[in-house]
Amino acid sequence: MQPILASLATAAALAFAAACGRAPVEGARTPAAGNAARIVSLSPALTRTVCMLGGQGAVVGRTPWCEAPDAVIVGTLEDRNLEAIAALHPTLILRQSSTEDPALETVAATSGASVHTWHFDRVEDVRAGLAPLAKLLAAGGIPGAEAAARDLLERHQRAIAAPVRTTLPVLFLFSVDPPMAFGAGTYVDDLWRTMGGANAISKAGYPTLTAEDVIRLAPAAVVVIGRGALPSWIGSASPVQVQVDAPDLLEPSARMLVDGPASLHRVDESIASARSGG
Amino acid sequence: MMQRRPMIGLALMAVASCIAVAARLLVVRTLDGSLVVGWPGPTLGQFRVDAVLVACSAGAALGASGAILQTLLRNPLASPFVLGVTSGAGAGVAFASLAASIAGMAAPTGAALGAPALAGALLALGCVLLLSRRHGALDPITLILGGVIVGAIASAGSTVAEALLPPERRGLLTGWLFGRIPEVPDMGSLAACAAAALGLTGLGAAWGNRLDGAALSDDEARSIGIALGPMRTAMFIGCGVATAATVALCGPIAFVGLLAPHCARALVGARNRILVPAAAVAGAGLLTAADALRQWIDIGGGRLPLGAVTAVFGGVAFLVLLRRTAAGWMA
Repeated sequence: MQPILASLATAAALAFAAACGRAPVEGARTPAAGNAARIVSLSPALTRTVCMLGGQGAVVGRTPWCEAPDAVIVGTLEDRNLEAIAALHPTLILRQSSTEDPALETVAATSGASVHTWHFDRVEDVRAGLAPLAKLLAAGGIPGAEAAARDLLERHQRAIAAPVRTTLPVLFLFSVDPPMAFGAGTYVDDLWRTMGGANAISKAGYPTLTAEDVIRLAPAAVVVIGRGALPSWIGSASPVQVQVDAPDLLEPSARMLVDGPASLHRVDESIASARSGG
Repeated sequence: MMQRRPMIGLALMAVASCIAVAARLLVVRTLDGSLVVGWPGPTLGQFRVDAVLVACSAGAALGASGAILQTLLRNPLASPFVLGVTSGAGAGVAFASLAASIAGMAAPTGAALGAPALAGALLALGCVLLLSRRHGALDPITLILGGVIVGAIASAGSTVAEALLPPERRGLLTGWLFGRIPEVPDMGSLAACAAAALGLTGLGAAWGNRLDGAALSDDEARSIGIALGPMRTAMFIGCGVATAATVALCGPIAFVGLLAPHCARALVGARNRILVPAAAVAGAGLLTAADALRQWIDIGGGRLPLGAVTAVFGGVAFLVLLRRTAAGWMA
């Protein structure tokens, strides 16, 4: 038994020594000079929005799913690594939540950073969040952010100005097993209704349905957002089924504002084509 | 000759299960909130018939497995979960989802989840059976410990895989872990589950007297001429395979395997010759009733997950049963 204990103790001591001697977290830098923004984002949608506002180079910390490869992964909203975040000396910490995070606030206070929490769910949330976010970035040395935000909003307005031809109720699913739908008051519902379409689901939120529910709804078209094989029963729900691989419709970010309407116009074209027998 | 009371109990249970089946077949709540009663025609009716077949097969397999395991392990809290099979199936699905994500493929759903679930379940079962072999036979205590440990390791693996999944794919895995009764099942999985349920129930009933003996101590069982080793091995494997087939078809379903034997025991007594078939009938009825109930309740998010219904209602029902029968569950 003693040799085993001795080996374990030696291994533990070596591991401790290695940990003590390790370099700081990969990508960690010294505190930024001046007002240059150093952003830690705990939300993929916010990271994407920051990047679209010209702040990609300022993102130093991110979640595993954020598209900002140069930034260090610091965990997720629920499981963030406070030490890694502190080591990055951020000036801005961005998160999406409806609750506060006192521990993160403490880390931010000691690092001289500020925590900004948004809750992007509806189109209006994203629209309303763009200007303040751009203002923060501009204050952090990204001068083009506010102009980029204005440009994004103008592009969004132009994109939703063109109405869709399909006015009959359409069912938008983001999962088929079980069927899960974009209901009233979701960002896809907002976009589609603004463009003159009608959502087959009047229930709010993202209801879980059954195949029988979908068939009883008898929508003019079933639109499945995502990839993967469609189940055969969908043919019984509607003669028109459209599948669209549109990541912009799976995340309420600035990309959804700008590219979402274009994806929905593609959906509209496909529905019109299928209904006319094309 | 069978005593009269157990047969009456079995008949009562069959009637209750038939009511559950009729409720699932004939009553739904539509999305506008109204309850609709009646046969909906061939297309929608087929969905309901398939859902009932799935619920009856899975429920019977879980009920029979639970009854046999509670007897063999001499533990009223034993259920198919103790074999680690459910956690193994969950790990199989989690790693299949992760592999698909890494390969840039669409997330597996529906029938495509059956194969990884079955593979994970059988792998876990194989590990548990190997770990619990003592002198050529399966040891019940080691089996429980092995099942708990293998289940814990598999659950940890699932957690790791889930943590690595992108957020938009996590929902599918979480949804699977709640359990489901597919309205359009994979017919191969359904046939396998139904065959496992029938086979296990038949075996349990045929070996009912031996199971009764196995509920005694090992020495007492041997003294009346029961060869415990081969029977335990056959029964543990049968329960594991039946549970694996259920998980592949429906995902993990909580409480049915625990509750059904207790319901059956309260009505038909503890003789396994009739208890195992009764537990299978009770399991079929309970799962069908849970699926019917799920169709009627809408608390704002659409249909409730099946696992939530079985856990909430099953848990409460189990506590009531426990209070009434705690003094003599084997009586």
